[in-house]
Amino acid sequence: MIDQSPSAAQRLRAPSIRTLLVILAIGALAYVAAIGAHLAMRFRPAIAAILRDSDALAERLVENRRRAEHHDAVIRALWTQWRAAQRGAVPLDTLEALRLSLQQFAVASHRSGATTAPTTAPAELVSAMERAEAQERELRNALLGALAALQVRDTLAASRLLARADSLNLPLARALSEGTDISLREVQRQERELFSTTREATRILLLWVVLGMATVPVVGLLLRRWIYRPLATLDDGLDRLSAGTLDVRLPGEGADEIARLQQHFNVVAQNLRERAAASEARMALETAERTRRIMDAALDAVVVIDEGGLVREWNPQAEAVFGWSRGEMLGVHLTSLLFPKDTAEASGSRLVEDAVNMREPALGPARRRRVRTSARRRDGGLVSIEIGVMPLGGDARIEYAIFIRDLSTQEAAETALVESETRYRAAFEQSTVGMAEVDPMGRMLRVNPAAAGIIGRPAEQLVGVPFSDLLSPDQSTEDADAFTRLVRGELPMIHTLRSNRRSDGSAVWIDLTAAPVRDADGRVAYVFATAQDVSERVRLEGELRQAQKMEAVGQLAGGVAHDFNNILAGIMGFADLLQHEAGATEAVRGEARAIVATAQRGADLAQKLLSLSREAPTLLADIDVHDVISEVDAIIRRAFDRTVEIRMDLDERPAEVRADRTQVSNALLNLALNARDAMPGGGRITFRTRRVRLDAAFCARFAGAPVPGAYVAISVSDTGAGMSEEVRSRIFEPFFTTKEHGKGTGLGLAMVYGSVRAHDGIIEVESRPGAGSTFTLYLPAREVTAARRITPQRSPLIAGEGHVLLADDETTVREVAARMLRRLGYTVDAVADGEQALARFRNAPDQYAFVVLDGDMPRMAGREAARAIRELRPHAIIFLATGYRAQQLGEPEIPEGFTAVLPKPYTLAELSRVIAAHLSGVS
Amino acid sequence: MRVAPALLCLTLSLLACRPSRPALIGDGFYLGEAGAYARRFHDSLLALEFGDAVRIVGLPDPSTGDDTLPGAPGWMTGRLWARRLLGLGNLTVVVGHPGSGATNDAALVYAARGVPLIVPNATAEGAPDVETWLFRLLPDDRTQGQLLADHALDSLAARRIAVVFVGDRYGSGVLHGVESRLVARATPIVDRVEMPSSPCDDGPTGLATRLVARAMVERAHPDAVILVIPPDPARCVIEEVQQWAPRAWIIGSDALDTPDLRAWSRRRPRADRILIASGWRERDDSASRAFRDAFRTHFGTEPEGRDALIHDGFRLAAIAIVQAGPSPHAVRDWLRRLGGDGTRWTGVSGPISFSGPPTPRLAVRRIQ
Repeated sequence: MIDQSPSAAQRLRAPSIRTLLVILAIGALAYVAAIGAHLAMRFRPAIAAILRDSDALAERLVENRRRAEHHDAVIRALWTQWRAAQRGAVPLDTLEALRLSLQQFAVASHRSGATTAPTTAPAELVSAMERAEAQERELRNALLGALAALQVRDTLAASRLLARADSLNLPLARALSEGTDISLREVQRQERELFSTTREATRILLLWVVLGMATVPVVGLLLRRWIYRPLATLDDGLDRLSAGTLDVRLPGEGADEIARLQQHFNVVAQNLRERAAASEARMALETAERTRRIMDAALDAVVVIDEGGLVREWNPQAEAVFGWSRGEMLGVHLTSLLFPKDTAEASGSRLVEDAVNMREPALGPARRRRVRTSARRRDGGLVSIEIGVMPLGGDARIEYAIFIRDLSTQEAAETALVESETRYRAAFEQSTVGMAEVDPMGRMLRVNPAAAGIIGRPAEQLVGVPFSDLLSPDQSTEDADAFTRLVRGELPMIHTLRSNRRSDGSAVWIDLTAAPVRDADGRVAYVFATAQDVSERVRLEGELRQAQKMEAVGQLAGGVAHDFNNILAGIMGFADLLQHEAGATEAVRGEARAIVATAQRGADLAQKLLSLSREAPTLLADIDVHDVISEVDAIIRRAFDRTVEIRMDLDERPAEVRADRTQVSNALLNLALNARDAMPGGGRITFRTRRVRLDAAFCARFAGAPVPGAYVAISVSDTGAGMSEEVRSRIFEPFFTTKEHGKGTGLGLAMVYGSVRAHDGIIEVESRPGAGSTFTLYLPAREVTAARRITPQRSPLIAGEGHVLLADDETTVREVAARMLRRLGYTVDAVADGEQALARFRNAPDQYAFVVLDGDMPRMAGREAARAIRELRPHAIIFLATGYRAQQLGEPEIPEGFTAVLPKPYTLAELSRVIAAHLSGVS
Repeated sequence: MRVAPALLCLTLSLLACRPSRPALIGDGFYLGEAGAYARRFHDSLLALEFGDAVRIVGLPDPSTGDDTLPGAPGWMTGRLWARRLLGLGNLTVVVGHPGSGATNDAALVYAARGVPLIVPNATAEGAPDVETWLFRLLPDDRTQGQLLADHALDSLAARRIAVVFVGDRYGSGVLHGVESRLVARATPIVDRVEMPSSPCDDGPTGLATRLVARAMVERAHPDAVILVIPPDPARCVIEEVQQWAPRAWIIGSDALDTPDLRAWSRRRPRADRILIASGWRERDDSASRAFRDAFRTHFGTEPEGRDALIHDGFRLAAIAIVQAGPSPHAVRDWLRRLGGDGTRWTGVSGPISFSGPPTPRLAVRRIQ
């Protein structure tokens, strides 16, 4: 940078504007000061003195008048008081007030200096004031004395002093008047003097002003030439410089401050020009470099072409897209290479050429927007691209930036997306699982046919319907709350089991799962729900639960019946022995028969308990259900009220089943009783039979895995009140009843259920509140096969002989059994458990004609003992005496190892028949 | 070229050999022929003690032809007096003036010119802005009033106190001090009587004064009467008070501290109940004796307290000049520091200090 500032020598030689201004300012100040000083020295003391004295004299005039008036008033007041004192009335308060007033006036006069003359007063006035003060002092002395005389009631002295006061008041008034006259004259004199002084001051001031005015044009011309013009030139240069015009040069002639400012300005302008040029060059380089980095970093291919279509820039992404390097492409005609003519890609060429040729940006299809097309790669392959052309403004030439985006990856993703959507659509529509998309507000967006089937409405009618409208009213609030929490993210998903009613009113159990589907921002876009109709599963689960409950009840009842049968076995055995005792009288035999009969009723009760379980019927036989229905019909027509109509709808074909007639009869009778109780006001009971063939699907609906095949369906329907779903689900529970206390045991339907299940049958209930109930029993209609069961028959006692091994842990049972066997002629070895029995048998395997084993014994059960005995003697005759039933034990009808079963309790006759039958080989 | 250094040396020699001028002390107390006589007395005493270092100057005798002074000093206010006194030359310090009004007026002029003023016996309070240039040898009027009230209450056990005062600044100031102290001590003043300065004669003037005093006694029944009035009317008042209230104490302000009144009072039948405040107590030291002897020799009479205070004022001014130099500011500063280091200057009227604890220069004493 060149230092063009003025040298120090120039500054020293330069006449300084500052100096000139200082001289002018000093001159002006001196001029004004001279005027002020002249006037002040000439007139100010005199005027101040005149004004001060005038004020003092004016105050004096007022004060004199006030004092004279005061004295007159006091004298008059004292004379008044004196006259009052003459009349004997001396108002001391008034006198004291007057005294204090006089005293206050005197003190105030002294304090204000009213009794002394002004400092500059003329001697004549001062002398008059002193005389007045002396006379006033005497007057006040007389007044105070007169006042005091009145206070001490010396009216004579008071009149004397008041007369003196009167005599002093007149000279005092004259003295004050004289002072007043003197003051007035003095004031008038001072006013004249002030007027004269003011006039002279005005003349002098005018003279100074005229002289000053005469110098103003000269001073103005000098200021304009020295200061204003150079400053205006400098100001103009600064304006142009601040407006951006750097090519400014000022005259800068002379060496004063303003000239030096102009010279400095020229230096600064020159520096700015140089800096601007350097800055422009640097910015151009930086811009080019930044443009290069931007192009290199661009995600799209960026190509710059000139107006002739020749490539000027070719970024790395373009190399990646098309395969040509930058060096290969610079100077190459772009469109002819990428979009060869006479090919399908020629459209891209037209896009670029149109964009280049159209001057207006809006006319070219690819200018300022993107157009899809395809281009040729170096390897000859086609690449799908999106192309946009932007003109680049320039002073000399126009170039175009072409932004090319490779759409290959994007199109592949779009294709994959379409395929995915198609697959999803197909899966959605064709799924057997109900699917639905629900928006965050709970409205159905899309429903597949399976879901529509579950709901019971066409899918198109469900779109836009709030899902809560499809739920049962008692569940909708809970489900809506769960849905809201799901949308808020408080629940990850919903998995619930819901019962609902279809549009046709049928009930359906739905296994519902719902989970939110979120968009890219993490917000819930919609909720995807799946629903499955699990009504069948729910029903089966109910059946299973019922079966399990009945199984437990059966086991309990079986256990009770076993013990009960053991007890009864002793009672019946001894009573039977007594009945067959030869020496017994007829009366004893009659009592023994009564004991046996009573014990038999106990056995029947045990049988009922056993029928709660799946205890196999003890009296299986081929029966025609129609016969049983006829028997039941005969009973209920006599027992039921006439308001109950009994109708029969029986199959024409025989309804033969293998069953325990008594249990079937009891089951139908229980159903008829329940039907009657459901119709307290009367109604109709219908018995209906059909031979049906149940398929596997039907059978699968029921617990216990019933076997598909031919069944006899026996229905008992009523037109009564029907049952709610809750009641229906519990009717087979033991001891569950809806009847009044004392009118039902709650065992009726439980026994029906147990009997049907004992026959490997199915029981089905249909009921609705107000629509009556229908109980349908399905009993297997199978061929009657030969059974090894003993059909008890009444016959006389069959005696025998030989050794018998008897084992029973119950002492009473063991003793009665031993007596019965001895009564029949056998020699009995009785032991208390299986081990002892096995030991006896091992000692003499061939000694015993047969063995009677209790089923449940300590140390070794009857089953194990029988197996061991049969190993010692394979053809040994072994009877199982048990209070259980085979099915109750989960065993075959005749357990392995035994020859036959002796059901407890048994009579002597029954015992003899069973033994005789097997010893003789007759079944 | 050799003449110039010679002239310079000669000039410097002449300046060095020139006798120093004495510092001037303005006399703001005396006027007229009698005043000039009194001024010569004080000037001679200072000359004996300080040589030519100081000299007292005052206004000329009005009889010498100055038509601005008509010869009656009562009308001459302090300001006029001060301006004319300052016109006599470069005064270093002024001692004056008679009366509080003139003193306060003059103090304004001296303060404006930067000349300190030593006030021997004027006690009225002046403008606050002149206080730094004003040095009083006696406490102000208000303080004197408080002193009189305290003495009446504490020493005389008076409880009904009346005040007879002259209605000027002096009387009002003392009255204000008495009233403020009595109010502070819960003893209200029973009466206050303003009385003009009048002679106590046998004519109507004396009659009026006596009637005023008698009326006051009948009205207030005082057991103590404080008199703040000139000596002339004081005689009549004392006679009346003693006639109508024989047991009453009479307490006079320092205005009654005159030899004539003292002598008259001592001749009164109940002179033991008359007390007068005084700023000067005759001391038996060599300086006091020398002062009294010189005063008697010069004037033929005994000095009064006022004379002692004036003498101390001139002596103090001279000592300040000798100690601090002839500069008024230096003298002012020296006077302001006087007593600040614990050392007080003692004159014939007693110790004096303007810094530190105030000097108890006023005391009430019985006539007998």
